[in-house]
Amino acid sequence: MSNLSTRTLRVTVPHAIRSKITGGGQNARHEKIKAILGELFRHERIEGYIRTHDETRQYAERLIELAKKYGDQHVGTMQLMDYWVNDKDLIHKVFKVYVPRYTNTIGPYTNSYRLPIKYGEFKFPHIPRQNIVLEMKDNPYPRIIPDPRNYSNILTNVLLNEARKEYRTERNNRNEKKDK
Amino acid sequence: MLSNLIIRYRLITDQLIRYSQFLFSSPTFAFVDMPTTTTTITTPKSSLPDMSILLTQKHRATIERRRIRRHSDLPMSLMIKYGTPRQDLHQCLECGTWHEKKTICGNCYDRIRKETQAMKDSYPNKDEFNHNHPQQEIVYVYKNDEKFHDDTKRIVEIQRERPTWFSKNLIPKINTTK
Repeated sequence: MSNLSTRTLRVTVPHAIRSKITGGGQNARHEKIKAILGELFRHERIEGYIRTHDETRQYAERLIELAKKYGDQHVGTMQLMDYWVNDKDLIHKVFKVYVPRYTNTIGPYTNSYRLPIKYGEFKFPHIPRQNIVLEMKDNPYPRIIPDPRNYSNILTNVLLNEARKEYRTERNNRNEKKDK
Repeated sequence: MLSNLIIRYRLITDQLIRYSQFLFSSPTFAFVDMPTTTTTITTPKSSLPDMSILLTQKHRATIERRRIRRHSDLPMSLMIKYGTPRQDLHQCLECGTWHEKKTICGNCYDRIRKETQAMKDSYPNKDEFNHNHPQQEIVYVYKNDEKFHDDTKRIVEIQRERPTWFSKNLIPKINTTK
């Protein structure tokens, strides 16, 4: 197990104290993470509390990174998979869907966005409850961040393009005169 | 601290002894001769000291401190705390609603959430999805899309037309991660 090594994670590590994310000690924390991991691998887009879901994001990244590097014939990775994934049909999904999908991607394999806070709905009004969306990259669902816009037809951009063209033509003409 | 505890302990013991006088003749506790089922000693809630005293403030704030809270421009002042306009709000470029900094637009995300839920519901076999998940890429095909056959992919057909805001090219050209 100690021989397993990957690159450093490319996600932000949360500042919250890990033992205080859930009550009930280490076992309860592990069970919570396993439940969210299974949900993430199955549905590919979930919502939830920022502390628990940002914590499980690191585990998902690490498992896919190991699966990419060592494959399904390795003993240590399969032990880790067996421990962290409760539903065993999802282990097949990791090796058959996620690994070929992310062969060429370097960076993080998940996205997380902060949802707007709904004031007045949570239990303690002085502690705002922040929820996030977690998703695997390149999923079939519609994108959360809207498509990049085409700003080339806005008036200022048109004028700037014309000015740039004029400047280049003048500079070229000047250079040609100097060469003669 | 210690004196408070002693006073509370003495109060409880006094109450116990007073109630035991109705049951037994002597003020001492005689648990040995007690009948098992008929009588049980239960202290009512009013006998215990009120715990809400612990939450109130102990000392009265001076008039100087109260006036600072009301009228000054320090961050502890209530006028500064609730009276300053917020600077961390943004306007969405798509729909124009206001949302907080660092968060995504809630109005635009509502539309996306409904669409994803509808796509999940259109999967025909839910038991397969939840217990024996398909080990292939799932592709959702709308009514007006081009139909194609691929054995390596699981194709799910939706009996609706593709929404105008949902583009077919899912891979973004520009790195738009925040």
